[in-house]
Amino acid sequence: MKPLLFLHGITLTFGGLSVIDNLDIQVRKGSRCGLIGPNGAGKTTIFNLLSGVYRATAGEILLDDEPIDDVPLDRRIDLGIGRTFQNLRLMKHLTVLENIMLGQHRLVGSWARILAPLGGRWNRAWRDEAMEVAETLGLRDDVDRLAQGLSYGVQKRIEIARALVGRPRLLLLDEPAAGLNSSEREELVTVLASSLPRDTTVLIVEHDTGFVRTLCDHTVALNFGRKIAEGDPASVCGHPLVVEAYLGKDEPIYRNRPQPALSNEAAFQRNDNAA
Amino acid sequence: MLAQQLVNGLLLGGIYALVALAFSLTIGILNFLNFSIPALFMLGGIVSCAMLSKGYGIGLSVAVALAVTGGASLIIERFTFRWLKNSDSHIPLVSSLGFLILFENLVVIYFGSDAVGYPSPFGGASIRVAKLLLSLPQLASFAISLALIVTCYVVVTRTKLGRGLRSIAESSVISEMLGVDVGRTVSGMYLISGLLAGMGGALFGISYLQVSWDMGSEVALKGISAMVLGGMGNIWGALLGAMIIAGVEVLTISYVSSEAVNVVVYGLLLLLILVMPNGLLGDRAILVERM
Amino acid sequence: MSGYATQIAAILIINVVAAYAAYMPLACGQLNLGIAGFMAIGAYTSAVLNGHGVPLGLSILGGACASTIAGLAVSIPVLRARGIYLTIATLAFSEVVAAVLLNVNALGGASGFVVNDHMSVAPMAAVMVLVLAAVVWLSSTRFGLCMTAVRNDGRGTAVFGVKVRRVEIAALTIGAGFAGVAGALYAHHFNYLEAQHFNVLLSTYAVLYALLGGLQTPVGPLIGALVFTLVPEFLRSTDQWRYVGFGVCIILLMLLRPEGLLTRRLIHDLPFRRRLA
Repeated sequence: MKPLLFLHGITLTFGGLSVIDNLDIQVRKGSRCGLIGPNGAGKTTIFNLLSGVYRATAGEILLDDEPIDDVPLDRRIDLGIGRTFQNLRLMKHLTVLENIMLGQHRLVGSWARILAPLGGRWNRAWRDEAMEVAETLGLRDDVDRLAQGLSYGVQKRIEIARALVGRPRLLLLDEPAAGLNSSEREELVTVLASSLPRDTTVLIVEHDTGFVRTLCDHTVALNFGRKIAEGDPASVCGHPLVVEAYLGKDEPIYRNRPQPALSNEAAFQRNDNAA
Repeated sequence: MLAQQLVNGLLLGGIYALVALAFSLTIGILNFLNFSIPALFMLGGIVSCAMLSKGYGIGLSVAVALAVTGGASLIIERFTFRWLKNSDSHIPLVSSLGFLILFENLVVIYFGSDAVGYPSPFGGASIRVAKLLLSLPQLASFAISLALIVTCYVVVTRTKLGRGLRSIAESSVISEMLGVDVGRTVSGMYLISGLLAGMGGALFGISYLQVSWDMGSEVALKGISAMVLGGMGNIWGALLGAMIIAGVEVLTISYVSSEAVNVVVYGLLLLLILVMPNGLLGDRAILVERM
Repeated sequence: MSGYATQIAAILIINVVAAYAAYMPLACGQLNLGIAGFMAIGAYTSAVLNGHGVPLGLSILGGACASTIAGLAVSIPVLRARGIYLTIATLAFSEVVAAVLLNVNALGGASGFVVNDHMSVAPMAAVMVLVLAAVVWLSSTRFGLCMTAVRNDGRGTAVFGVKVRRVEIAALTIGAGFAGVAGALYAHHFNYLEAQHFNVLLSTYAVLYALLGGLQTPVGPLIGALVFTLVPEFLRSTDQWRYVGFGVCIILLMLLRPEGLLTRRLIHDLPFRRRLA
């Protein structure tokens, strides 16, 4: 089957420093692809390439066989690429529902529709759809509250809802579980598993391998800008190179330290999930 | 005639440069257009004038004026920076407008709304060099302005305070993490800009022998024009811009009409900001080395 | 109504409309300090049209159109830079307009310009209600949503396909149109125009009314203009102390209620919890 997203020989260098090195990634249509790797592996960089913040030094990115490298940041949404942010970027002076409805902007189109009152009948269909998405993400009781001051977990879900109402072909989730405690994380996995539409291709960047294992059907592991493993989540997470990338190699210099690997945040999360 | 006008413009430019620099420092470092600077300029003129008319010497009068403007600037710092961190960018601007309205009207209440003669001990003393008539107080003012600008440059580029300021211009958060005392450094910057503006006001009085409650607004607009012309946040840019603006002003008065001055000066400013927003010497070039 | 009350009412109406002129760009995070210039364009255009026999209503509309066009002409090049550049550019624009008017003898120059038709307070109030209705309506639409989003996070808003620059230009242009209306109302109520009246201070006050009232709801500027026009009148203090008090109020309000008097949270916390906006 043809891939929806095809990163072909992508290389990105910053002044001689190679961040991404000749990377090939294919994401099938309708797939939930996880992108894992330790800090500095190049996961967020790939997101920034896809959303147009950076431009690849070499190689090309194809979305449904169309190269998208020349499309500027604020036009990527028109291609159907939706995203969430690692650092929350909700509009603090808008209510939850208004924040979500902002995500529909690309679909709304004409000026006449932009100038119709949000509460009126011209916008009823849009409002209902936003409400529906809010409900599947468990935001039903919060829709009329201001986004400012809501809990972190709720704000995360608002961001996901806002990306979903734009009906993206490709949804990029940037560390959706970062900063959540384990119960919030489990809740989010459950909610996402039931709310992500079947025909939406999702690319998830995540530290937490447990999260990826539950949600994804395909996983790519990166380290130092290179692909080190690919395949189904369970085997990738257990791949020796991946384990090594997360936990570090047992080098002589560290031998005397009691538990060197556990100082790594990722290792903590991994242990959490294993337990 | 032309030479005489150019010299007059140059001497006026010294005062504009002080105001332009005061604006430029706050913009370059905090990206904040500080509208209390015209009030501080006016206070510098009015306070020194009041002291002089009570019979104190010029040195003491100017010193007291500077103490007042420096102190006022530190108070303004509390209300426009320290106590409003993390607020929207136009909040400090609005607070500084509040101070402008406050100080101008306090001065009207205590000193009246008419322009007051400045009892300078030097009067209008002048010398004749070749065919040029040079006013001695204006010449001295120009020299003082120049010295202050050079001092300011040295402070910003060579001292610990200056290093702190330049790092805050880059990023206040990171500077704080790296151990820069942001509160004290910014206070230092406010003190410098308050002193520059206050000195500008006192020198204006000494040079042109007249002060009034609204003397700040006109000069401030010229100072802003000079700053944009030279490049916002650029110290030498403030000086260069001030010279050009003052030159254009003086030439317009003598060759066109005094009514046309504002059309020309502000027209120039508008044109510049549309076509060349980074100014002649570049935006924040000395304060921050941009990528 | 007594002469004094009429005077206050007229000033209030003009202040409210001017506050909305400042509110529009502020609602998407841009500070326009050239309100006075746009008011002057509206005032003089309307006065000249009226002087050539154009009926009052059409003259005012003409004034609004002229200032709208000026707003568009200024905002398109300037909004490339945004922020402080826009503030300075609009300030310079306003000074240029005032300086040019002062030099055009056909418009009275420094000696002032007499305006033909008089407009009483009642129709002025009607115009103000129209402006208010337009802002409330705009705020309730997707356009209003975009304005708030751009103010909160411009770059983040672009990600959703919102053309940020277009929103900013539209807001500034509409604001300039309102300023033209305010200027035209001024011209026809006081029947006399002086270029010096349209100075930085006038722009400053318009901006202050909007900010002090609050940008979060379309009613904020109305509250701001109302409070800061009427309270000094009721206090009947002497002119200068009134301004001193105003200055202190501004400083304290920015410190204690930087979001303005009326916020969405305040409305949300009201006992009857009406959903405004």
